Amino acid sequence: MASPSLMDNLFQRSLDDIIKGLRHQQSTESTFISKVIEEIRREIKTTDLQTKSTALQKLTYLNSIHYIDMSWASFHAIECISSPAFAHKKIGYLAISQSFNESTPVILLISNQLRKDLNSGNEFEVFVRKKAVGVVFRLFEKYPDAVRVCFKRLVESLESSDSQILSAVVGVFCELASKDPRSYLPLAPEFYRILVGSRNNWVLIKVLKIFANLAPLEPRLAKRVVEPICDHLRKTGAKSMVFECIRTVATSFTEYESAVKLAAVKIREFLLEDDPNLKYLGLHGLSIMAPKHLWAVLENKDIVIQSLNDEDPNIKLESLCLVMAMVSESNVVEICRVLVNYALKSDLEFCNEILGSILSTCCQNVYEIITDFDWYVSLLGEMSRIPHCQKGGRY
Amino acid sequence: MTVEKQQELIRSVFGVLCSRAEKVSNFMEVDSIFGPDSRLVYKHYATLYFIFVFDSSENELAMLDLIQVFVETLDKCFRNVCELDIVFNYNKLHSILDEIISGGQVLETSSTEIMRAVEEISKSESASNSISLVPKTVSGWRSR
Repeated sequence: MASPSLMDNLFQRSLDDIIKGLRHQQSTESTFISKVIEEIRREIKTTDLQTKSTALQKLTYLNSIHYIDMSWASFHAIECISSPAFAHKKIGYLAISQSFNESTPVILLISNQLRKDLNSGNEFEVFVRKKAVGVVFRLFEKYPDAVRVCFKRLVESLESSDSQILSAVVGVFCELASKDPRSYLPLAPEFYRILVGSRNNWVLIKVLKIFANLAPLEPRLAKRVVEPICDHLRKTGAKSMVFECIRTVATSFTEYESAVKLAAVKIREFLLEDDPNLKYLGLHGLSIMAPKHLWAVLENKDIVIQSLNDEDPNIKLESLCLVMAMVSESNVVEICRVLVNYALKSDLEFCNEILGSILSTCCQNVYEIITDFDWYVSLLGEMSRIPHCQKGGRY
Repeated sequence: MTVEKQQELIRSVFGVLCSRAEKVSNFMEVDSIFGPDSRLVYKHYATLYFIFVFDSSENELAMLDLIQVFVETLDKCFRNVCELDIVFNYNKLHSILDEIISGGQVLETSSTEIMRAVEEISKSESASNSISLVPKTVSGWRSR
């Protein structure tokens, strides 16, 4: 390989230069990129960290936007993070977070630098500590033993007055509790304190999710926690909180009649909104309630059936599931009639969703709900004659 | 994740979104692309699409709010952000994103706080760059 010329050393193209260059090339993009990669491969070998990190930054960009492989540069990334200059470290850490994985050979070399950076009591300490909490969960996924090691510190962080640290810690516990709720039951008092004292909706939503996992394990806990949850449900101005409370009650507090009734009232408010997001979530809330509280679905029967006609595919699918949940021996004929009419008017995809649902619901438990088989057979015939029907083979 | 896998994921997401109608809900279930229980939320402003992928540890409406926070921060940073701002400010974009989400956890949801942190980071970056007196980049020379 020819040694770099004086000109090559003097002028290094920056990331901006590369981006501008790419935008000017329309047909020869891949040639341009190959040339840039060649330059990068040459530049990155230098011992000068400024040049090296600029080369690494360009490579990271190409990896991110143009899918160029950068795994060959892993050692150079390690060198960049060892620079005392913040700008170089930042470029190095970004490259690492984008391109390293478990099988990267030099990955062990990071831990030394990480330890130095985490301990270094310089002006970056504040940023770094907050990020560290977020990263910790990734470790737990791979090395569950690590939870025990950090546990004390994590629990201490639950009392932090820094909202970023609290958000991250509560987030970590939320994920841990969803995988292994029983181990986190002892922390319930801490979460209760946050539930009644915090005004931060992000943190409250996570705590609600935690209680949704803990409550089924301990009825005395559920009893203590249901009232504060209803309180939030009544008072909060944030729709995200309302929905999370609804979901928590409908999932894990189904024996508390007044809580369920309150949730049903709030669901109806969502159903009556014009905003398709709220309507969709209202229907979703109903489907969570359906197994133990079908009355809530029946109460909103009209809106559910109307929603079969909605232009939003999410809303249509959700309401189809709800309609099927309402099916029983006494109404199966009527509901199938309504559904087949909708199927005739629908596009290919939804039509087949409807037909598929009818088939699977009717044949459940060996045709438990069908009393009149003559009617059922003629219905099957009718469905197979629908133009969009793709279910012919299933009959 | 290999670059091929990344490309495949992005292609799938694009495929799923480009056929969405205008005034419908902003959520989609993406189990087939990202695994069980995963959903995405998207918002679209002129030519810019913002997409967040999440699982059951996040609240749907909170995720929608988060896109709003991200866009507001971009607006504060670039004064009425447009596509070109994002194309030419890869570094800054990552600085902003790193303040909002780290290791898959949401850290900060106030655009003012995020801007404050990003400004401090930019200051630290330029301070550490001013060590080199002679600009080594072509654009550095041109601006003298």
